Amino acid sequence: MFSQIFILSPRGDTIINRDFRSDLPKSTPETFFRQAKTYSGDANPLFAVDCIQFAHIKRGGLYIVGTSRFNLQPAMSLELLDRLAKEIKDFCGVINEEVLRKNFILIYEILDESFDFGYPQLMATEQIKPLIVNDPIQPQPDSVMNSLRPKIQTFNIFVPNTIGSQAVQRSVLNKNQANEIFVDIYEKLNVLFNSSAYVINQSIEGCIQMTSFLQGNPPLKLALNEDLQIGRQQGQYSAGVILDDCNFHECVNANELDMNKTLRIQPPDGQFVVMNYRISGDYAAPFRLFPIIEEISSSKIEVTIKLKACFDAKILASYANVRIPIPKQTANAYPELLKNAQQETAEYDSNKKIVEWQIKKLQGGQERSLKIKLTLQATQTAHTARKEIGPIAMNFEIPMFNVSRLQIKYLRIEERGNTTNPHRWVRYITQSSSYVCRI
Amino acid sequence: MRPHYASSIASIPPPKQQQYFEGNRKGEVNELKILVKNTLSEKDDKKKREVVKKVIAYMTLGIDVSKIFPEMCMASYTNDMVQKKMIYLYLTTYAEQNKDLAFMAISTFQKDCKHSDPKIRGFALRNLCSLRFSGAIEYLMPAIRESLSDIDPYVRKTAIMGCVKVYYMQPEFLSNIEEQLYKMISDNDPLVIINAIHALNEILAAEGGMALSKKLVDYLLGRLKEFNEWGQATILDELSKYQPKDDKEMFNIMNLLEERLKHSCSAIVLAVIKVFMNFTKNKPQVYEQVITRVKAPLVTLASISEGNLEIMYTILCHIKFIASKGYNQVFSQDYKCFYCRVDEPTYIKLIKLEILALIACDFNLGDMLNELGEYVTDVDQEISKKSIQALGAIALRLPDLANAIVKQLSSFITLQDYITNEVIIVFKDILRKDPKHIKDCLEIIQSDSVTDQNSKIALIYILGQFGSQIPLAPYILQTFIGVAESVELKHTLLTSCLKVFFCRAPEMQEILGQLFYSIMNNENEDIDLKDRAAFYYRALQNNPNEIKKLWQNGIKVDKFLEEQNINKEALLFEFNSLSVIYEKSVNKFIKPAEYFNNLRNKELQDQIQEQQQSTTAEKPDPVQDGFDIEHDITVSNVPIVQNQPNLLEISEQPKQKLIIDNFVLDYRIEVEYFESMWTSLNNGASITRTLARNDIANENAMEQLFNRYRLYNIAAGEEDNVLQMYFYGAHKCQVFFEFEINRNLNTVLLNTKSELEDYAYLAQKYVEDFLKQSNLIV
Repeated sequence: MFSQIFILSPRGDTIINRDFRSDLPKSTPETFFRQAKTYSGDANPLFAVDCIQFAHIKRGGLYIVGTSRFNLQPAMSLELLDRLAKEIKDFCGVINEEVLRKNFILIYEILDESFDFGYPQLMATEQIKPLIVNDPIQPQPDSVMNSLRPKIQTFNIFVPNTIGSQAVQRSVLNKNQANEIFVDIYEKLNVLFNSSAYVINQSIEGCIQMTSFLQGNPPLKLALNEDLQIGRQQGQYSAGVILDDCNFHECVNANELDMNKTLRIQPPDGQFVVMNYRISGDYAAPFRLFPIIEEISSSKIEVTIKLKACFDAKILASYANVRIPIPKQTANAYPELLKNAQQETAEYDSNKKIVEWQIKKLQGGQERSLKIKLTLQATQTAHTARKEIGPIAMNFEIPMFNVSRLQIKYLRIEERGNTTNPHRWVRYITQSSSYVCRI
Repeated sequence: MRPHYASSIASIPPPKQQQYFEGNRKGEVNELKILVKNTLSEKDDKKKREVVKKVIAYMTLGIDVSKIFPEMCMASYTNDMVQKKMIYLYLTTYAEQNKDLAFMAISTFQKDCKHSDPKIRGFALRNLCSLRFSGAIEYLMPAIRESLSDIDPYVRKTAIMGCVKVYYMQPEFLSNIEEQLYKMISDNDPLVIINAIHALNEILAAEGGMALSKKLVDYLLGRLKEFNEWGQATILDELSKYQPKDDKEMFNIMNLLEERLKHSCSAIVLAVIKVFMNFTKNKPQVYEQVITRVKAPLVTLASISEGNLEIMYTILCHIKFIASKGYNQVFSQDYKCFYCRVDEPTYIKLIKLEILALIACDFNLGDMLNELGEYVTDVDQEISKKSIQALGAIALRLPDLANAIVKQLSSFITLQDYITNEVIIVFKDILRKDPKHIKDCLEIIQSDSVTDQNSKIALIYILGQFGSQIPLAPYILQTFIGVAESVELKHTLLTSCLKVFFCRAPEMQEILGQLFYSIMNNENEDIDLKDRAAFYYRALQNNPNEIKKLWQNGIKVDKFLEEQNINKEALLFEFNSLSVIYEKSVNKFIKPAEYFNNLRNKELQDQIQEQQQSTTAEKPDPVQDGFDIEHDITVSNVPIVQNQPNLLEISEQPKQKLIIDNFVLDYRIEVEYFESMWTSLNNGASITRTLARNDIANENAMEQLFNRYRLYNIAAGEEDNVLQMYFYGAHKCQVFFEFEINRNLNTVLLNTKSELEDYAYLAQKYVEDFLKQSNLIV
């Protein structure tokens, strides 16, 4: 199993370094970082240098690395590191460099209970909790805000930087904990349009995520739509919610799902994903993009993009950002918003050759538009350069909305004799995963 | 991407620069030592915690704070768990380097092992077992044996891991432990069971790990759901080594495990699949059913990642592995799941492209060609190249559909140079397999944007092979003559020119002549290439028709050698192991423990040498610094000793006695290094004794004797009854010995030198002691 586990900052500084078996050189963090930097993008999660196996995950910009001299089970080693990251998040509230540096002693404690001689031991947050003696040190409040919600335009797919999620960004060790549970239905949309706004590929990746601060971990019963169906037959049409496939967390008993659409859950502490599901069927895309490209002259191009929010007017997208790559040979680009535009910005990044169009708050049914005037360098003509425009990528979040119509009918806490009724918070969030329009 | 890459390389500090800071850090460590010493009497636990925390922070940074060991030992007598946990972490990290002092700490550990709170018992035992030095064993084993039958499972599971730790230090202490471990598999606590399995697998590794009986398998499967995810994955991995007695048992187990495929933990799903695959590997029909059954869970794990892209990558590697074993049809329906998404990291996109290339078939090819065509214009060159390669791979695999692909590839030539380069290489492979596509490739071949070395070679190959159909072939070939290129390219050029010569002699004759001239008259030319050119030249002079015949009776290639090799090797890859990820056989990336022990020893040596170099560099210059060192310390008692980091150590250490464990095992240095050190060092210690025993006073016996005490011979010689030998060794610093037995005078002479004189005396004493023990001297 793991010989060492260490955590490195994005610059390669060691923040945590634990050697369990003393059977590998001590210089492995350096070796790792050097190798990771030879990749042009992110490094492969698993690689070997000089017969030392490195498994790593990247969380909050940090490298969480395990080393070994054995032929590891690859999925298990990465799942273990992921579990470790979740434990750290449960105890510290968030994962980022500042928090880890402040809490390094606490993290050594977690590591010590989680692994012995490199083998996984107690890895559930509620099992470790009684063994932990250090308190988490919270970072400065304003810095939390900075680190939690980086600028929204960062096009990270899987960052749940979502409204209200600060509520769960806290430690399970918090003594004055309210007795409550958060349930989120996240849906990440993957849509690919061709240039005539026709959908080439679409799918939904969804999950039901819980963050439990319930006292005493009482069993739960979660009921879903009555018209829920799992597994899709070829060419089948049904008015109900059809999931292609799904899988469940260790703590879930799904035996009753087919019969009465309920899940029995024995919730651990902290954050966990009750169920993952995927849907490949057609659905109405919440946003539509209509790009128009005109060659004004041999050195000038005009790009007009219309964006339409195709959902109910009662629903408000918390942000919608559009990124338009433009030709490498662009001399200059002027993005122009409509005159009456509100809460909108458009910027041209001349280094990356990208126009970023950001819209804060977009109501269902509304339409926005952006015009970009491009001037090309003399070396390229508009006719060849137009091929380099696009693909246009979108990034958005729509709270209290989900495409699949999967619903939580009720969440029952099956504990008798407890007078206080814990708070149950249910949220629906739809985000873009990969929302792309080709030109 | 390129400039980004360059800048990130630049951000890694070169190792030299780090050394620069070493000196300052040593000063800091001394400061810290004093700080810890002063806080020992402190009552306030909060203040103490902060100080201990600082030590751990230094340790994490990789700064050697082993010097504070005695103070930390003292500090370990505390009831504050926060401090205790940190101090134990420190002690276990540095015990190996402070063996003699580590004994001080053992009593605290022992006391805690008998604490009434099982949490503390377990914690103390875990740390006690992590003290890595041989002397600790005798304290360890009683504690472990007792704890194996502790009433609390937390202590029991820790004791089992303790056994494994002992196994790696001194396995002989573990006699008959296996029996007890097997018994513990029937423990109530799941973690105790899992640890017992791990322990048995490590201790019995030579015999293939834990023995699996039917009874044990049934028992573990019956309790499977009691284990956490990792426990389940471990048991399933064990199970995959088991062979069911008959079909009934096999199907029973598989039916039982099937619902585990719905688990969201990929470790469990892959482990179940491995069990299924291993069970059915000799039953092709059932095996195929298994593959069909596991498809959906795999695709689900590969598309839903909960933000865990790393897991997604692992699953994709396994899908690719299954697809490449001839089950690509299974995934053909789901091809859209493997389309690349904008923001996925390159490593995911690359593996997806490989999967797409494998699962392309007649009904999805239309969509897929469009999709792959889009990737060709991706901003990331790696993706662009890979998508061209994917298109090429599809064309090779599905010759009936190759036409469409060749046409599509041809349409990319106007784009970028790197695209043209890659397309040419792919064309070469397609044409090798099916020459009829040449008519669709003509345009791209005659474009002049081929810039990359491998692409040029591919182009030259195509020109040679299809010279008769490419009008410009001779003239394109001519442009490569006499240009500084790789030898490989010139070899291909020679072959291609000859081929074209045989079909278009009038045009080629002069060009071929130029080529012969440029190769044979170049003094620095590769000798093989020259030989080949000379051979052809003479053969052509002699009988051109014979040569032509030889060339034209070429063999048609219908199978690619490289494809066959890869397939054969891949069949042996173990599912759910790193082989699948790296696509390498296990013996290519796994080495035995000894290999790493050597690496560690070497690292330790380098560290010692580095320390020494820095101490010599930092030693105060006696001319500039006129103060008496002793005086400096005792009178002013300056806590910060920035420039003289070793002073504290010197003033404290000499009273100790060296023991064998202080010396580095198998320490090695070069002769030149020894010589330079021996001549540069001042005289250290020197003794002369009477030789008491003549029978062992020879070179071999002496070398063996010193070796046993971890001192190693570097040179020896005998002249006129005088045996002279040189030895060396290393503990805190290196020591060098000159050893002389004079049989004429009946004396033994020993000269010892070391950077630090006190250590020379200590080492001298050490040698004298063992010489006395062996009765060589009195």
